[in-house]
Amino acid sequence: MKLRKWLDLILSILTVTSFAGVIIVVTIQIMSRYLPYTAIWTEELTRYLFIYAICFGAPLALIRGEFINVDMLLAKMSHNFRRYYEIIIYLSIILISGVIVFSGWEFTLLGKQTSATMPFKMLWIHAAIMIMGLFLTLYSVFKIIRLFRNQEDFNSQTGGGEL
Amino acid sequence: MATVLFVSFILLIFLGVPVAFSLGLSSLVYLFIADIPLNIIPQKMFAGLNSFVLLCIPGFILAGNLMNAGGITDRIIQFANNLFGHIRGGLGLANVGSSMGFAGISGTALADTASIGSVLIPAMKKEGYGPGFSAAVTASSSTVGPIIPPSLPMIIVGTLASVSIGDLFLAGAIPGLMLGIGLMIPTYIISVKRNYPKGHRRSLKEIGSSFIGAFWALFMTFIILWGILGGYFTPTEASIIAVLYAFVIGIFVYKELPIKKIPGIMLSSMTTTASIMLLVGFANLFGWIMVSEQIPQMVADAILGISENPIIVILLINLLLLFVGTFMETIAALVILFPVLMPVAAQVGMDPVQFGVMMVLNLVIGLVTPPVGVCLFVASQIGKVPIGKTARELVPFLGVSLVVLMVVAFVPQITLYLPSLFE
Repeated sequence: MKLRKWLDLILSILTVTSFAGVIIVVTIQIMSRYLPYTAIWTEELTRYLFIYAICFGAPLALIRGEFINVDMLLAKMSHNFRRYYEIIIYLSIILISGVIVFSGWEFTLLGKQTSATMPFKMLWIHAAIMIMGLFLTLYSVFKIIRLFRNQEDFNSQTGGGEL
Repeated sequence: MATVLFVSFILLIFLGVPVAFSLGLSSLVYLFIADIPLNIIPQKMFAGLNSFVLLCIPGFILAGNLMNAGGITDRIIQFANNLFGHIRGGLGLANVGSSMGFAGISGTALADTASIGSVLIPAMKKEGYGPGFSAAVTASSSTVGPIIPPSLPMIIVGTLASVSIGDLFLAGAIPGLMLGIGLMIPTYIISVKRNYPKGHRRSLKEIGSSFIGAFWALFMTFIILWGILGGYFTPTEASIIAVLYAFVIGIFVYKELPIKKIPGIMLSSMTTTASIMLLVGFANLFGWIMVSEQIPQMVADAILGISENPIIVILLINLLLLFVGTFMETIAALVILFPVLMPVAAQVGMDPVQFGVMMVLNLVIGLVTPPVGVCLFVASQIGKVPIGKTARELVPFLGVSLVVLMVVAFVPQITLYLPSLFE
């Protein structure tokens, strides 16, 4: 799965870069309050960087098994049954992600207006939702391939999630 | 129609579909049946994600992870142990104390369970504490994490109720301290009863020098609160200041944070955030459907139909939340139920800030109760104890949590006094 390794790396770099961007822009926002130069674009730019950080980070969270679920039923299954059962779960994730891709495309086209403080069209930001759907679909496929090849170790997952 | 939404949501969760996607899929089923155009999905998700306030989530998560990687956990534990070690059950008390200290840099309970537990559960077992008891103390004390500021669930409440996050943070301070100190009581009583060990008394000098190590963690909580309440920066800015602070402390003061590890820590903080935010995005869609189906009104009528007595209404809300909390994830329960229950609470004269703290407290109790309680699971896993055994040891601690919950629910001053000082 060389393709996945490359994609993982690209998504990781994009996620960390967007997050680093958030930190830098917010720092500028705080400092600009004490400097003569006022930056009006910082708040808006931070929100958009955040949306892109989520869009690149969500597929990675999916493959890492970080989405919280209730595993009462899953924990009682035999390893092999659970493999096929989880394939069905990921097919359902592909369904909703696929819908996000198509409806996300329409939503992207709605973004004809220009950003409030920056010189680009909103469709570049709206597109994040569609891109996220695209990668979620792709990573669900990766997950299903892993389940087919029996490469998942269910015991090593603690359920993930931060809360 | 609304039945379809709820039945499919509960069914999907029960079948093991991640909560975020369960929200999305059940909304999809509803939209399909109601024949509503599907492009409402990206619109509502985008609106849910496009928030400057919610940006403090990755900030606080990253700050907590950086502090942890920078060696703060060991220092907090060392300080707590020097303080409580000489009392019977000292390590147990130190466990509760560490959770309270750690709560000031992390906004979640699971982070507390994992970081404090991985150090203290093995240490407690080695000194002769029962493994079930060790896991139970860790799990229950970590629930102060989202009560003592900063707190991730309170940020969500702040965005849902449009109330000041600074007020919510501050409102959690007294209940958080009450809960922490309260949990020390059963820890001590059980330790005396079972004759658990005590350490030797530390000199004031030792306590003092370990305090300096832990001081930087406490100071971070102070900066966050001071900055937000003093109006020097917004909660989002405070979270980024906390990140910068954690960088500086980890690299220059503790000198234990490897720079090479920082991108990895940033990545895992962001994937955690992404999994929460996708949930928030889908929940925004789900919530929109609920409002258009007038569910909040129906629930309010149903509860107020049973009784209009404030005490009974508040008790009913608490029962419902405790029940939901036992199997539902905190953030999901918050985003779905807060808009539904807030109008009811308002009817009986509850302040949104008090209601927010009460709701978070209800839901974090669910983190340590079966059938689904992540803190219970993780603590049991670290202690290598069956979940049932930990759950039995948890009973007296749950009693304390419920007492604190009732005080918060019925004595508004506990939550509202500190914020009122900053009006």
